[in-house]
Amino acid sequence: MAVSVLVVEDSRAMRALVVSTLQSLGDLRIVEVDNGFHALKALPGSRFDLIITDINLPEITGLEIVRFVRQHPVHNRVPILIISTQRSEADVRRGMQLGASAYLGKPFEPEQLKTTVCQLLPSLSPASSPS
Amino acid sequence: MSGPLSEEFLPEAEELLEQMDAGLVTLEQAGQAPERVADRLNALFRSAHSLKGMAGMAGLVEISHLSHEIEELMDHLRMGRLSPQPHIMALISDGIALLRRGVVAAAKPGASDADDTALGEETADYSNRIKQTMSASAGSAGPPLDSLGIPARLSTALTTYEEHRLRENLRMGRTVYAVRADFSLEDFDRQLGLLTGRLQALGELIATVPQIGEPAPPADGTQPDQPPGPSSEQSIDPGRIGFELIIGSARSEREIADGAGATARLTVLGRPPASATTTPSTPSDATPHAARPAPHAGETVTSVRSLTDTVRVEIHQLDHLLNVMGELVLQKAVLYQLARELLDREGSAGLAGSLVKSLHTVENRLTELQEGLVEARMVPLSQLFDRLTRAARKLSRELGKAVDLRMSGEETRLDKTMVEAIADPLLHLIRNAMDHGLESPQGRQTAGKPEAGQITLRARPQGTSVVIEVSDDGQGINLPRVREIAVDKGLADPNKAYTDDAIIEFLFQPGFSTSEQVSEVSGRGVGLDVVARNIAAFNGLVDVTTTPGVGTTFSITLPITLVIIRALLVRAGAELFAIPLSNVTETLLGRESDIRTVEGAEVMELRGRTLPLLRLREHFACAASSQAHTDDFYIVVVGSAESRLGLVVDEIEGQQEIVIKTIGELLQGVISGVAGAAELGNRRMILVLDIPALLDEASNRVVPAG
Repeated sequence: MAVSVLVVEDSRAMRALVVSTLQSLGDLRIVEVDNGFHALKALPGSRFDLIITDINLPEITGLEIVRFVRQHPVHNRVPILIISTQRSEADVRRGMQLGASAYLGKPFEPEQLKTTVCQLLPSLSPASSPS
Repeated sequence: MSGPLSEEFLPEAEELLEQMDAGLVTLEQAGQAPERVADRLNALFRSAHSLKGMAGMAGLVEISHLSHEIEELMDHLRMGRLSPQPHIMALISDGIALLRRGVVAAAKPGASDADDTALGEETADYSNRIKQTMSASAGSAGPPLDSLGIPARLSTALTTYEEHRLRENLRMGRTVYAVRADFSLEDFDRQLGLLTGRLQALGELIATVPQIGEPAPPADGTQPDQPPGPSSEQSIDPGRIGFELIIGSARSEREIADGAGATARLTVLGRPPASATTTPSTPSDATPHAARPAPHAGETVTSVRSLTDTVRVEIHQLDHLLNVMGELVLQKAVLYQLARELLDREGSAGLAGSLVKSLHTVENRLTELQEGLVEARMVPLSQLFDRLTRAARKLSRELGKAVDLRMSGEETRLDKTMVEAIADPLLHLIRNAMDHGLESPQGRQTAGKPEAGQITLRARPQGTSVVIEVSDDGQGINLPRVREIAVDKGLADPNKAYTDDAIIEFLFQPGFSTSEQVSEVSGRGVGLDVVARNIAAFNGLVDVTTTPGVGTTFSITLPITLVIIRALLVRAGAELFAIPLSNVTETLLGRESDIRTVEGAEVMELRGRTLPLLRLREHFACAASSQAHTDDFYIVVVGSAESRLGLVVDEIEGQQEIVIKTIGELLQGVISGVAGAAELGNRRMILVLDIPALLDEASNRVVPAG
C-alpha cells in the first residue's frame, strides 16, 4: 500500500514545493489541503502515514490540528511534522508539547525535508528515490 | 528561481501584496469595532508571514528580509505592543511599496545591478526605521492562562496570537465564552460556518478548536427516561466532529446562548478581572449516549487532490483562444454566405434549408463561447481601485492635503490587459487632481469648502464600453492660464480665440505642463499626453469637464474587450474601411458648402468648435466609385483621447463585429493611419483605420500659425 501523506499549507507555492519534494521520494499518495477545515474534512475518510502542517493557518490553526489529531481515536499515532518560520518559536514549542513529532523551520532545503520525512517514515529511504 | 516554487511564487506574491494593500485600506477606514481591527491586523500579519516564508524558500533574501521586518511590525501591532497610528501605517505602506518593487525586480531577472543596489539601500534604511519604531515597545505577558480559569484542553492549543486576543478581550471588560457544538462529518463546514456567523455578530471569535466528536443528543422526547450517564468524554462518535468556539463578548450569557442555538453548549471561561459578580459557569452535561458505528465506510480519497476548484490561466493562452474564436466567427460568416447562395439556387426545402438551420445553432453556440471567453478575461476593477486608494492616501500625506477619496462601481469588470494598462494613467490623473485640482488647505478655507478635498473614482458600464471617471471638487482648470502657457510654448496662436474645449486640448499636447514649478508629486516627467497616448492605444477616449471653483472630471471611456471590436464600415470611393466604433463620437450628413479652408486645411464648424477634416478618399487615394458622385457626403467624427477629427466619407455601410489582424511588416509604415486589416464575411479584406495615428497626422497638418 502506498505511503500516504496529508499536507496542510495555505501557500500554494509552499505546498507545491512540499508536494514535489515528497514526490521525489517515491510513489506517495498525497492529499493536499489549504486550510484546517479541509484537513478536518480529509482526515476521517482515510488513513495517513504522515501529516505535514503549517502553524499559521486561517481560522483553524496548525496547533489546533495537532491537538485534534493526537486526541483522535484513529489518527492519534500518525507522525506530525510542523513546518513554520522562526517567527513562531513559542507556537512551535506548543506544537511539540501537543505531540507533534518534528519541526522544520522555513526556509529549508528540499533535502532537509526529505531527510526529516524519511526519519518519520522509515519505510521510505532517500537512497531509493530517483532524485 | 526554478522548480515548482517559481511558477507559483510570482502570482501568489502578487496576490499577497494585493491583500496587504487592501487590508491596509480597510484598516485605515475609521470607526471600526476592535475585533474588526484585530482581524485585519492579523490578516496583514499573515500575508507578510506567508510572503516571508515563500521568499525565503525561493532564495529571495531581500524580499524575505523585508517581509520579515514588516511581519515583525505587524506582530507588534496585532499583539497590542504598538498602536496603529498614522506614522506606523505610513511605515507599513512604504514597506509594502518596497516589497512590490522587490517582487517586480525578482520577476525580471535581467534587472541591472544599480537597481538592486538602490533597492538594497532603501531596504536597509527601511529596516532602521522599523527598528527605531519598535525599540520603544516592550513585550507584555500576563498571568498563565490556567490561572484565568481556561482549561488546558483549550489553552494548550491556542497560538500566542489567539492567547493575546483572549487576554485582550478580558482586559476590555468582556466575558470569554466557550461554545461547544458537535456536527456530523458530512456537513460540519456548513454548520460551523452558520454558527460562526451567528457568534461573530455577538462578539469576537478568538479561536475555533476542533474536538473529537460526541454522539448527537437524542431528539426531544425520544429517550425521556434515560438517567444522566457517565462523563461524555468517554463517548466518541467517529462520524461526528466537535468544535469549541472561544468568543469574547460584552453580551450576556443568555444572549450568547441564544445565538449559539439549542444544540450548542455554553461555558463561561473567564470574566474580566474587575467584574465583581462571578456567577458560576454552566457547563451543561452532555447527554450520555453510546458510541454509534461510523456512518461512513469505504470512502475513497483520490491521490494528490486539491480541494480548491479554481484554475489559473496565463492571459496569453486566453488571447490565443480568443483569436481562434475570432477565426471561427469569420468562417461562420463565410459559411452563411455560401448557404445563402445555395438557398437562392435551390430554395429552402432541401439541404440548403437544413444547412441554414444548423448554422443558426452553430452561431448561437459560438456567441456563447465567445462571451464565455471574453468573460474569462474580465476582472473587477476593485483590486486596481484599492491600489489607487492606497497610493492616494500616501500622496495625501506627502502633499499635506487632506483628501476624502470615494469610489463607486469598483465591481465593474474590464479586460485584464486593459486594467493593467490603465493603472498608471489613472494614478496620474489622481495625482494630477490632488496636486493641481485641489486647492491648498488655506485656499479651500477661503472658498468655504470642507478642509478635506474630495476625489471620486467612479466606474460604470456603458453599452460595450466602461467609463471610468476621476473627479475632484477643487478649483477647476484655469483656462486663461492654460492658454497663456500654450502661447508661451508656441502651441497656440496668441491672436486667435480658442473655445474652452480647444484650450483643454492643449493640456494633452506633449511637453505641456501647467505646474508653475515642477512638484515632487506630479513632476515625474510624464504629462497628460502620456495618459492620452496610453488610453488611445486601447481605442479609448478621454473627456474633460471643468467648472471654475467647482471641480474637474476626467472621464475615460474604454471598450470592454480588445480582441473583437464593433466597427463602423464606411465607403470612400470604391474602398471600404472599418472604423472602431469606440472611436466614433457621431456621424453627420455634410455638404461641400459647410467646409471652409483655414490656412490650407479643410475644417468645419461643429457646435462652436473647429473640427479639422480629412477626406479618406484623397488620403488613401481611393479609386473613384462607379456610383454617381453627389454633393452630399458623410462626416464621421472620430476621437481619441481629447482630440477630434471629422472623416469625410461617401457612404456609411453599417456596423459589424470585426477581428483585427495585423498587416504584414512590409506594408507597415507604407500606409499611414492603418491599424490592421479585417476580413469580412464575404472573404473581402478591408483596412481598419488607426484613429490615433490619423489624428496625429491631422494635427501636424493643421499647425496653428505662430
